[in-house]
Amino acid sequence: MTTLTSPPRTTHTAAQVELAGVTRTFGAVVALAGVDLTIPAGSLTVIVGPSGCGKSTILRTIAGLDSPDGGVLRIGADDVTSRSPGERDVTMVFQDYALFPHMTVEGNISFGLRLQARHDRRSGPKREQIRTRVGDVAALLGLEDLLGRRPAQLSGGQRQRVALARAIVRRPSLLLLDEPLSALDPQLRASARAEIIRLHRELGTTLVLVTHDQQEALSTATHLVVMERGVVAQSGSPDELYRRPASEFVAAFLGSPPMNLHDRGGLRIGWRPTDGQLESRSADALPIEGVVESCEYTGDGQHVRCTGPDGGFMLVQREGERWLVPGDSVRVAVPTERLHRFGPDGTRLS
Amino acid sequence: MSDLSTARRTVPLAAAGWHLLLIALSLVTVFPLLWAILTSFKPANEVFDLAPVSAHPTIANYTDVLTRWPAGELVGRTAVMATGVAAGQLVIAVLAAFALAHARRRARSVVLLLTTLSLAIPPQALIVPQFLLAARLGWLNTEAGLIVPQLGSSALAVLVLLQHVEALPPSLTAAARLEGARPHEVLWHVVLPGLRPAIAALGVLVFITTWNEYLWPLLITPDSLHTTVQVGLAQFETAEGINYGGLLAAATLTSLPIVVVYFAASRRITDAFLTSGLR
Amino acid sequence: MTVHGTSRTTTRSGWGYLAPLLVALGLWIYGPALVTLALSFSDWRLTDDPTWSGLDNVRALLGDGDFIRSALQTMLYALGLLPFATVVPLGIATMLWMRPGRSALIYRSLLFLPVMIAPVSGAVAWRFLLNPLQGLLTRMLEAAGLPPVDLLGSPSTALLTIVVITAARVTAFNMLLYGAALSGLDRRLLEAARLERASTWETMRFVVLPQLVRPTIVLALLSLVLAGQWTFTNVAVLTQGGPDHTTDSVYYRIYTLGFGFFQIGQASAAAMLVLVALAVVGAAVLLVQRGRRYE
Repeated sequence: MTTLTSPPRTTHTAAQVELAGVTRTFGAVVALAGVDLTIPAGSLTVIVGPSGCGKSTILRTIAGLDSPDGGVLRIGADDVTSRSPGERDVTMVFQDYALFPHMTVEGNISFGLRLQARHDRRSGPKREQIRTRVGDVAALLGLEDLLGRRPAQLSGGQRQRVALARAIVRRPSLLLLDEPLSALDPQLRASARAEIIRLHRELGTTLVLVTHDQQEALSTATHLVVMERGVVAQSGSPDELYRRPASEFVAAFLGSPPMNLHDRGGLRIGWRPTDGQLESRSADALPIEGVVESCEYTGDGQHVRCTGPDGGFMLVQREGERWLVPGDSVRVAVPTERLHRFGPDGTRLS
Repeated sequence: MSDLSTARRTVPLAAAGWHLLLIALSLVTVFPLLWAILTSFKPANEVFDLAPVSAHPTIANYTDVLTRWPAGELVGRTAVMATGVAAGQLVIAVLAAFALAHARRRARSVVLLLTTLSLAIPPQALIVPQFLLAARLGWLNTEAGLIVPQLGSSALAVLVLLQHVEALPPSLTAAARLEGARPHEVLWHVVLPGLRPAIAALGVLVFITTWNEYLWPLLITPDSLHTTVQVGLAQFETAEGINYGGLLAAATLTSLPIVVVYFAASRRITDAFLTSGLR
Repeated sequence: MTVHGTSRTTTRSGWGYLAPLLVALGLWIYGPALVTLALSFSDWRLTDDPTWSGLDNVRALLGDGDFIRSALQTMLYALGLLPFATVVPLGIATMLWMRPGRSALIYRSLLFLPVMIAPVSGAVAWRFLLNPLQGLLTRMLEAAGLPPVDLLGSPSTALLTIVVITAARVTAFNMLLYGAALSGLDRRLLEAARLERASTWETMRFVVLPQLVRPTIVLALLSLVLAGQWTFTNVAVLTQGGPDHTTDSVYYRIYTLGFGFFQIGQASAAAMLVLVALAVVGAAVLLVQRGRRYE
């Protein structure tokens, strides 16, 4: 992977990740119940799902920190199912950053490279090369002035960047991130998210990110994977999953506010709150009736909660419309092409 | 200290009572030791006098001890033993704790059981075979005989260090492994730095405990001139009977280093015990 | 609680890391334990080879008045030290914890002194103080017009004296353990109690002490089991089991049988009997603990 005199690269090799039939059980708990997943090379893949769905286990399995009970894991062309974590060309940013408290920022970032140098005295990186590479990465992430500090002296955002630096300095073909934004203040989250997207574009390596926040997932991913109870519920582009959810679960999981769901003739009908049209008499639409229960002001509009004969539902109103108030009767028309139908087992019907 | 000041405001009398009680207890505890030290400065004929401090204080007892008694050799040998046992137990414990923290459940349970059980076996049940083995190895009256058999008592160090290793965030070892660190590198770069305070505290504790050890040195180095300080003290008798002044001077001399070491390290020791969850 | 998932490559090196511990335990603890077990069924005086003698040793011991007596006295030691292993250090540690500050630190250091002094040094100091002819105690009694007492030399007082001498060390050490347990408690409990206008005593009784029940039970049992151990050095240095075997403990008996009379077989058998007794107590404890869980 490393050569003696290679010029600094701005693009890395990106690996495709393939999981086939991967299972993992912890005692009585089934964490992974047969996962089949392909993560495209060079993508920014986000794995999202409720707690207990297995997303963290998947990440640890890809990293090699956990060995699956069954199934095959491939990174690039290699079967790495039983390979040790240090030999997979994978790096990871942990949720708590896992910075080595007794090393400086520079020490943390250079740790993997220094180990490489020691394991491979002939063709491993030399001290000068290590210093240069650490310097480059530090510059990329704005850490130049912090190289001599210890993790305890850094803020949360700075620690995250150090963790990122450590993960990218070895130019991995696969970079994993475990809930990278959940430890940050809400204000920092947006800029950190933009940072990750920027890095992905500049490095070109495959990024796999795990989160429980579906909004974050939708806005960050180039490839989105929704997991439910140890299996992949659906994977594809964020647009695909949002517009054509393969199951009721995915439909209800993605989107904020969540999809409205009603029982109709043995099936489940779903529509997004933004797709409902007030005061429209279109014939090619499903009418939903109800009474307004409460309204939540969101700054650029309001979320309106209603109940009706078909159950409860939510509407989204924008600024400029005549705002509903509690007690109003409501009649919504949902265009047929915006309706989602799900069978009794939850899967999508065309 | 807000609750302290408020408490004092409301019940000043109770505070005084508390102080009195603790002073009394402290006096009772410290008294024999204090008296022993004071006596060591008395000339031989005043050793049993009621007066705490002699009219003619002297350091003759001390000079006597230092010249006629092989104090240096005994202290030196005891120091070698204590250091050897502390170092040996620490090495054993660090390696074992690291392995146990990352071991599979069954292996870990078995080894832990064996380790904990070893604490429950009274030493007197083992001394005969231990002595026979050490003697057969030719270790009678040797440093090896003093040190090596006591390494079997590493159980406590293992348990304390195990708690400390498990208190380290698991993501640290995971991160190190991902960086390509092999087990011994994980131990050296990630785990050991985190264990430094615990190792220091344990080292001091084992050193002190071993320094105070009486039974085993008595058996393995019976020659009172070439043994450890404790055995030497216990056998401090001359043809004329016990020279108490000298005996107490010797006891003071040999206890002082330990007390100093303890005071210097007391904070570390309590902290190490706290984190180890010995509750 | 495993830190890693299973990783086959590290298992082999794992056993390598455990080897020193296992070797040490095997050679110096469990090996000797097994040898003691074997020797307990043999007759060996170190002069020739050991010969099998079955349960003769056990019979001899159970018929030996001195041994029975030492067993009873060991239990007396346990009972005598019990308050010094539980109530006393508990009280002191609690008092120190409820009123932290510089003075508390000083008291704690002073009261911990007995642990730092080597047992032999302590014993030697006591031997001096209790010297029947001229020791401090005798001198003080003389000054008060009372006859001298030989605490360590009188069959009626020797055991009690050993208990008292050992107590200081036991109390000091257990004070440390209680202190550790207390430091894990939330100080806000004290503040909450203060808000409820609880007195110091009430706080202690209803807030602090209930939290310490579990360590107390553990320490109580530990003291029962280890009491004989704690007294060993004092007995060895001060009374050597006497006068008239009144300060003998099973542990000291094992020592004298093995290294005094060279009755290796009997010494081993005695050690085995002690182990069995401890195992019984331990099992009883576990049963009680398990029973308590269903209360």
